[in-house]
Amino acid sequence: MDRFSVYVPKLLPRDENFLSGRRSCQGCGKALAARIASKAIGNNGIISGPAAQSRTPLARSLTAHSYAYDYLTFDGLAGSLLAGIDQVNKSVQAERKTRSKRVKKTVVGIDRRVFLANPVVLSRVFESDGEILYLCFDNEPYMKALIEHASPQAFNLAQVPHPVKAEQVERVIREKNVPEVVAGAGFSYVATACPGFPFDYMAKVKKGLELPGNAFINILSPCPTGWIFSPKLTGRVGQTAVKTGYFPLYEIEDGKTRITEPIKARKPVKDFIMMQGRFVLFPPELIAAMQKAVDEIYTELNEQMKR
Amino acid sequence: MARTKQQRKAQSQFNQAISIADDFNSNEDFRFERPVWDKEKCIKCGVCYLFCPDGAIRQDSEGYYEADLTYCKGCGLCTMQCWTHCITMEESSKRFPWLIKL
Repeated sequence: MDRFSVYVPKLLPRDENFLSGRRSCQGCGKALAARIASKAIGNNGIISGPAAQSRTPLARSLTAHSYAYDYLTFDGLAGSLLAGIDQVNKSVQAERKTRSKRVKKTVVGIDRRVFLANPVVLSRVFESDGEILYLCFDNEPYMKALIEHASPQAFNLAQVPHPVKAEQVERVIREKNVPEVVAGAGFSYVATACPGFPFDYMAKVKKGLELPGNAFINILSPCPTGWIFSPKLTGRVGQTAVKTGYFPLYEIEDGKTRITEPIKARKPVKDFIMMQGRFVLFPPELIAAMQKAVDEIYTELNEQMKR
Repeated sequence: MARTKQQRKAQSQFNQAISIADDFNSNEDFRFERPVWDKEKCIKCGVCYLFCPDGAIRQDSEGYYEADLTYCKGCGLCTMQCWTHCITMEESSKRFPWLIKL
């Protein structure tokens, strides 16, 4: 019995930087992801994010965390403000006001909607050679306009009048693949993560903080309200998404791809679909089309890894 | 405009039933169930502590885990991730006590 005692608390820091007392939904995947990230970031960090986009961790007045937080009203301000923080960091480093050799990176939590709302500002930020770690929380029909319509399309029950066609399935899944796009923009470290695999996720956040240059982590955050499943299944849904190959976990470092969570026997995508209520009206032909698209993307990833 | 006795009663009943975010001091109004640990099965691994999205699970002086009921929302994520299945959900609701009886 003594052998097993307290092995998770040994690996985690005790202090809670992402405090409890939030008004997020029950079993929120985004809050879980933000909390695990805060464990990896530690005490020194600046969280910055577009306000009023997400209901949960970065929401307006009912937030609870011990980080310095920038309250932003416009998406556009994010870029300039982050550049400012970066400049101050560099000057502090130049004047040797800190004992450490490198000032820690600033961490930005963004919703995937930013890619839609303000791509110009974001592309400018991406081009700058600042040292910023982006955490992109991706719940597919991101919480815009009451989970109704996402303009890079997503599978959603509210889209019943305009259902996804068989030809569109592959495009919808491929649009989700943000890391591949970002990897071309000169990022030093790009990865995908899921709160269902917390230690893998924490290792990636730490790696992103240590490496020089910009880093980007795309995080699948299961949403019980939007995807329609019981809130107790948040962890399990994320794990099945990884095990079916729907959301493979990998990292791209110096142009080399590596799958961090290799899957020996891949489950059918149907397992992932049957867990959720948003696929209730999904006809069986589309499930076959989805399986085909996921297979294609997964084999492409494997080929990329061999290069 | 004076309200009749019946109207006031209906209003108070309505307020009781739909009391959305009236009390910001606790998360109690989210909760239908609360987690209970079986201390004989618990191996003190702390996976429940890691997976709690609200950070409501704390360690007591003996090393066992317990939920802080002011913050717990009763999502039940800890029951699904527990290796020894030592956590069960017990019914308790502040907001809809009549729903449990149904």
